[in-house]
Amino acid sequence: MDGKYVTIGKKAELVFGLFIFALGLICAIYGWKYGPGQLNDIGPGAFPLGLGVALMILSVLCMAEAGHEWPLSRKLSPLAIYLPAIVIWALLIESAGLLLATLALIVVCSFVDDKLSVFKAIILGLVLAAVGYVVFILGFGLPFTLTGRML
Amino acid sequence: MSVVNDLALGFQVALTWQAILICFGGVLLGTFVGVLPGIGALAAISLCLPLTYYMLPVHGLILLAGIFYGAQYGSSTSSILLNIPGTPSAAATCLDGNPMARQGRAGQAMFIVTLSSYFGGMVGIILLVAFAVPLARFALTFGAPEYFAFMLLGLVAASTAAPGSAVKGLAMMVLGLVFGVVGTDVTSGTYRFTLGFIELTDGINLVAMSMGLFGIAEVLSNLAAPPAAPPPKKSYRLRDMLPSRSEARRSVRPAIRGSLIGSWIGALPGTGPAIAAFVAYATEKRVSKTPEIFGTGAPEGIAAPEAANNAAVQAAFIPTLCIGIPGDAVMAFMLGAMIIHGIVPGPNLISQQPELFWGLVASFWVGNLLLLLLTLPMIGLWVRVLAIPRHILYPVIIFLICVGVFSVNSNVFDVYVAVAFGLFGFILTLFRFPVAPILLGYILGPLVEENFRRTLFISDGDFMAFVSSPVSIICLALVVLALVGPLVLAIKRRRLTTVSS
Repeated sequence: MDGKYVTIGKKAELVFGLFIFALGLICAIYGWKYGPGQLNDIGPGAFPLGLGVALMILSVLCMAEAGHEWPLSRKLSPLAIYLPAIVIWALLIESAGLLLATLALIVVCSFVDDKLSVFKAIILGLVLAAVGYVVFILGFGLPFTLTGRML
Repeated sequence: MSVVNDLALGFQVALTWQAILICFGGVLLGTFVGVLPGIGALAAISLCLPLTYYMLPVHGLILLAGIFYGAQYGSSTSSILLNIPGTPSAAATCLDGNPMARQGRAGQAMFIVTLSSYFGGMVGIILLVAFAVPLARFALTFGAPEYFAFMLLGLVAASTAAPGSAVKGLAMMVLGLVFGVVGTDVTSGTYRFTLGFIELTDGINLVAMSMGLFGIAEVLSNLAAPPAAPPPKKSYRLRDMLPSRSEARRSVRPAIRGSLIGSWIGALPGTGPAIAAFVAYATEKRVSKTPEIFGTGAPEGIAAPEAANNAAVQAAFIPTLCIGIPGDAVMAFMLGAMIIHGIVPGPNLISQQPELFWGLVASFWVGNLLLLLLTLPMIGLWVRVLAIPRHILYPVIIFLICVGVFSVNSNVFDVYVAVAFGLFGFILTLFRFPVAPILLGYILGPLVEENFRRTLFISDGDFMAFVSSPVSIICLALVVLALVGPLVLAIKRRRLTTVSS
């Protein structure tokens, strides 16, 4: 899967700036809810409240800078493959064990480009699972198994 | 004589076979990730943190520190051969290192760089040994207001001094402080930003967060960027790499100056090896009688920045170990690692745990010597590391991240946290937001809040307590300078562009 390059323009920068602003706003609201306390007895909300306000101000300044720098062009397809691959590993590790989880992880990762064929990915997955078994399970005694709860 | 005794104690720790082996593993891994552009020391350090839980604290720290300074040695290889710095601190080395490679003098460049790095590292360690005890004694007089001011200075300076937009750096630092708030408030017991997850009541897991931000996000960023050129195929033999007598002579003084500059800059809060390297390069150009040769393959232009960045990474341990305040994100991670191991970095560390402190310092000597032996005769091998196919390397790194994050608490929740931070970190790089200040803010956040609240509690709500001592006044004045400085520069730059257009 070869993805297209996406250019990050000024509009996207402004939208992301708004996202940071929203994070600041949420932080400030929750800070208020937690209780800012008094000057000689600062409550649990004072610090988040201050941080939220600071984040809102800084996000506005970031938005003012939007479009100043040369826009970057990046492929977004690796994102859509690698992150689900890790989630699949996490879903499988306890029930199916290190072997299947790792095979699934590497095979899904191989979809990112044509250089790693599924066959080679399976070989790589097997090698990693074997090394992982020796180093992490036998060596460090980490609490997961090679075949999970299936066997 | 006490320094000699202290160092003897340190070498007793650092020269055990376990310590040497762990140190070797650390510097080897450090050099490996340093050579590879795009994968930084922080990713490797966070990957190895779970492994240190199975070691003695001093061994764990020797491993993590070894990765950090080992990465500096390796990072110049791709600067010289590919004109791409292995880590940001080797960016200055590209300026003259790559022209040397294009003239067929890559081997000589790597030889000079390795010896300068070793020299720089040694000077940094000597400074650390000389200043540790007096600085720790001075820091014993610090109270909550001084700690608050010092931490604020570290946070603001590190966020604004990094390359790129100062505002974006500050925004990320504040966001890091917010992430540091997540969990149970120590004073009141209130759950803050836990989103209903019981797993978040202890706060966000350090390993999950840093692996997401520096491991997953870096892999994604590398995959998303246009592919880099492969390294030139050439064999490197030690005999052919020896610099000429004139090249060697021209490198000596720049290496000495670079080491001194790097040691001082590295010890300051908010600076770091990248800034040290550029300052050393600029200084060298200024003092040179032939500044026009810089940028065309001058050995002075690689000896100075490499000595400086290696001196800076050793000197960066001074404020972290002696005051308990890290100067940059990697040092903040080291601080976090120490806290996890139950060590309280700060002025009492040297007196309460001398074996740990001096053992770590002595291991720097061992590590730098190992690096010298590891790098020079094996440059050919490190050049081959650059040729490892990315489509194999990245899935392997992702596998190690998965196992590493899961192993911390045997909990898949942490893996999901890493995925979330990986996604967030990747998006941040798309918009050119620096990621490192988040980690710095996250680790210092709870300490900053604690000292802020304590100061106001002791002074009965009087804000003047923050400016009650010369140390805090100087620090807060520097904070203002660090905030206003970039703003003035930006306005000046905008005015210049308006005038020229």
